[in-house]
Parts: sequence; C-alpha cells; structure tokens
Amino acid sequence: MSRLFVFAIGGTGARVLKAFTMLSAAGVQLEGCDMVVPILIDPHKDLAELKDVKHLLDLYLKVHRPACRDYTPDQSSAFFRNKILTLNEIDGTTGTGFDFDERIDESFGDFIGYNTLAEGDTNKELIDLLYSEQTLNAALSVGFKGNPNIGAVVLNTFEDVSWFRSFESIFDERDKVFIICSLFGGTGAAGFPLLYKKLRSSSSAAIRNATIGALPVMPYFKLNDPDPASQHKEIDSNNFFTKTKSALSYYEGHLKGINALYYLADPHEQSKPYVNDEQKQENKAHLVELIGASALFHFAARQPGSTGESFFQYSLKEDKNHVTFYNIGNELRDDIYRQLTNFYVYSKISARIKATADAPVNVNEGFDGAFYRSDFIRSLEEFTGYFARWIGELNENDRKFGPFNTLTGDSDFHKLVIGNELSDKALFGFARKKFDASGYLNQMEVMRRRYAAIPRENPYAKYLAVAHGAIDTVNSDKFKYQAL
Amino acid sequence: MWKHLYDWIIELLTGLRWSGFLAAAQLEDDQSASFRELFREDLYPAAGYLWIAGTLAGLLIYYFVLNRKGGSGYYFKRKYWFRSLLATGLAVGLVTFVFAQVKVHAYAAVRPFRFEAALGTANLLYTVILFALLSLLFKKFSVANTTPF
Repeated sequence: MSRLFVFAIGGTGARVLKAFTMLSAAGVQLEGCDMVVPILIDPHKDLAELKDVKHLLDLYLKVHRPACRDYTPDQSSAFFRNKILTLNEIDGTTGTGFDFDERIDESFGDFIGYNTLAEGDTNKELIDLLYSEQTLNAALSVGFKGNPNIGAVVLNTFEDVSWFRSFESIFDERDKVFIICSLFGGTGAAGFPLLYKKLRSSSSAAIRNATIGALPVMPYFKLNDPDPASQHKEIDSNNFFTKTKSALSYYEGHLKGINALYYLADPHEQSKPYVNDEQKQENKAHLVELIGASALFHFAARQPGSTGESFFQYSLKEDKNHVTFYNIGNELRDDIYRQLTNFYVYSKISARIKATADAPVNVNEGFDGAFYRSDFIRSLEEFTGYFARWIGELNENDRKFGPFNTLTGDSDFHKLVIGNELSDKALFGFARKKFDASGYLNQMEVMRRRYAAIPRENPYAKYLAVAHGAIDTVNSDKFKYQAL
Repeated sequence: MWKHLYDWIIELLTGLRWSGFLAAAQLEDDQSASFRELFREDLYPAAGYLWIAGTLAGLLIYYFVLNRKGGSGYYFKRKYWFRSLLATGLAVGLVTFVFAQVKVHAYAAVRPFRFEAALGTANLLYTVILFALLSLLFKKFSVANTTPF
C-alpha cells in the first residue's frame, strides 16, 4: 500500500491543502497512491486558514470513512473517493489531528534565550548583529511575519519531536513525500529547506531515498502597504519578489535532489490588494492554490523510487483575468471540469434532495428524516457549504477562476457552466426545456438499481454513489464532457 | 359482457329501468327494440373499448411519459397522480358521452340525454377504478414506483 505524505507548511501550505481537499471531495482521482497523509506545520495556531483546513479535513474524514467502509466506489470520479488518513491512524502514537507542532506563546527573543544572556555576552552581540530589536520582540504566536530568518531557527527542531520520529518509523520504500510552502512568507520559506534536508539525512534509508516532490509557491498576491504603527500589519508585499529570488538563489546551491519541483506564481498585479493583517490573513481563495493542488495529483502518479530531477511550470491557456474551464489549460481542465461541475451541482441540489421526502429514491432507500439528521449528512452539508464558499471566493479575486454562473439556483442549470451555456428552447421556441434539480432526482431513482449491490446497512455509501452517478450521467449528457 | 357491466349502472344513475323509459317514450315496438339494441350492441362495447384504451393511455402517459427515465419534473408526487387519474376519467367520460350523442342522434325526439350522460358518467367512474388498480402494476416498471403508494 503506497502512501503520499504531504507536508503543508505555513499559510500557503494550508491553502493549497484546502484546495486539494476540495478537489478530492469533488472526485478528482488520486492515481499512483492508495492514500494521502497530510501533516500541517504552522506555529500560527490561531490562523483562520489553518483552523479552516483542519476542520475541512475532519469533515472530509467524517464523510469518507462511513461511505467507504467496506465499499470502494467503482467510478473513478466518485465523490470523496480518495483516502485521507491522519498520522495517528497509521502509527497510533501521535496525537489526533493533522498538526503536531506546538503553539509558541513567547517572543522570538525569549525562544532563543536572548533575554537570559548577560550584557557583554558575545552570543548576545552576535544575535544583535543578526536580528533587529523588532524581530527579537516578534510574537511567535502569529507566525514569522514573512521573516524566514526567524523561521529557520524556530522550525529547526524536527529531530526532537515525537511525531517526526513516528513518521520516520512508519515510512517505507513504497511511500512518497510532497512539500507545499511559499517562498515569500516566513514559515514556508524557512521550513521547506529545513524539512527537506532533514528528510535526506534521515536515519531511515527509505526516507533518504524517497521520491520527494515540492511546490514552493512564488508570489501570487499583494497586500496593502504596511502600517508600522499598528500591530500585525507589518508585512511588506513589495519585498515578496526579493525574498523569492533570495530563496531561489539559496535553493539552487543547497537544495539538490528534489525529484519533482513545481514552480507556480501569478505575476499579475492585483488591483485590489488583500488586507495587511498577519493575524487574520483573510485572503480569498486563489486560482494559484487550485493549480498548486493539481501539482499534488500530478506528483502522486509518479512511481515511488523515481530518481532524477524534474521541473514543472504552469501557464494558462490564455492570460485572462477571468479564467474558466475553457482557458485554464486543457490538461488541467480535463482533470477537474467534470468533477468540479458534478460537485458544484450537488452543492446546489442537495437541499432539494433532502426536502423532497416523497421522491422515489428517498422512499425506496429509506433516506428518511433520521438519515438526513445523521452526522454523515450534517458533515456533508457543512463541507458542501465550505465548497460553495470556496468556489465563490475563487471568483472574487482579480485573477478570478469563475467557471460557473454562481447566480444559478437549482432550477436553471442551462446557464451553469460559463462557456458552455445550453439552449433552453424546445418545440421550435414555443416551449422551454426544463433543466433543474428534478432531473437529477429522477435519475437517482434510475441509478439506485445500478448500485443495488451496496448493502442496505451502508446507506451512506449508497447515497453518495447514487447522487454522484445521477449527477454525472445527467451532466455528461447535457454538458457533453466527452466532446471537449 | 358489456351489458352486465353497463345496464345496471345506467339504470342506477338514471333512476329508470329501460322498460319504464321505453314505455314513457311511446315508441313503436320495433323502434323500442332497435333503440335498446343500439345501446347494448353498439354503445356498450364501444364504451367498454374506450374505457380500457383510455385508461391504458392515461397510465402510459403518467408512468412512462411524464415520469420517463431521464425526465424532469416532480410528477412522481401524488398530487400529479390524482390529477392524471381525474383527467383520464374526465377525458374518457366526455368522449363516451359525445360518442353516444352522435350515435343516438336519430332518436333525439325521445330525449335520451340522461342515458348518454349516464353512459359517460359510468365510464368516468370505471376509468377511475381501473386506473387506480392498474397503477399498482404499472408503477413497478416506472421511475415513479412509489406512486400512488
């Protein structure tokens, strides 16, 4: 059984992992690996994005586990098909959840013991040369504020932590590693080379020789100008490219042997910068994060034990501010068009499925009030809420990814896919063709017989299979996926 | 067969036995006989075939056109089944009535309206009953397999 261990470092790591989770839920297939084990590294424990992705992963597991218990969906694009595990589920000794590094509630100066050094101590003088007073007073609870020189010290503790030792003990030659980070922040830029070096010098031969891929994301957004008078508003995005060049110069000389390196950036200048607040970092989801997630799928398909170095870049089919399925790039489009459309439709019609208690599929399968009040459905509903918001955020950036007409309710799917609008005329224009939730609901009853082999004891698997099958069948017929 | 099916219900709906109606109409004996035979030999079988064909057509439309595989709409809901049942009954009843009117036109002088209306009404009622009964069979092969219950 081959596993892909994904280290998501810092805010960008969390965001790309969020995009990966969304794509997995939609049914983008993970090839070459049986499961993914995400590990989040970020000392900024209050970061909304970190909490978000952890909660999202929890929801994913709450849907995947019951639905895929004793049943593997036969369709490769089935919802929630990819297996995601926590480290604890494999080794049983690490804590629950996806992040194991501790929150640090002290300043950087306290962390390195600066304040315990006596005046005149040469160590203190050396530190004064390397770090400013502002840096020494920086609170580590909000991360490294875009300063990899802080992160390089704070994160250099992998060998001392039990979760890393557990990881080393369970890793074998069939497994692979993928690292996601940014080069222009603090946590990722510092953590990436540290982690990589630790992996290549591990006591475990399997890890030393493992196939390792990395996605060091380069700048793709900018922030409002910093406000030195304010707390937590000090990051200067004008330095992002300088930091990136500096990091790349270091990697060129010191980071050899990465088997697959994915370069990704958006040089497009945002006309609407994000708010400069490193405590909240309320940046909307971005197309670059989605493309970054596709790198994970691309890497997963590589054979374990692959040697040599490969380098990958991504460019859009057309350099447009409004990106859709038709100009994002054919290869990526083929990987995500069907799946995202299917899951987006599900997010639109799930409430109608639930509300139509007398629908044949609900009556015949026993999808009654108790079923729709179960933890499984509540988790699924919450997840689809996150998904709908994520799609909405992708559509709100300057470089927006807006493949769907988000104003479509559940009754007019003709106009759902931008660039593939369907005619709603029938009978030579005298009548209107219906394309609403009812078509999917009726198709679910037809699909029910196809999945008769799924035992009644697992209604969750049956529900997801029937819903996905119906949506995929109707959408394939209407949107003509195969004709692209 | 059709005589047994329709005679009793027409007499019930009109409140009048054939003998009473023919006596009151004051028709000649041969005219009385031919009028009565028109109903028994012509109208009753036609009404019977209309009843069966109309009911089957209504069921096919409801279960395999409105509720076809791959179709849209919430026609599996019971209210639409009821509407289909009533519509089929009314359609068959109306066609039966008009057909009877055309056929009995030559006897208009005796005002056979109540018999024509009774025949139409009988077919409406029979259609509703047959539609409901055959729904239990037709639904098994349709997407609307939980309708009416």
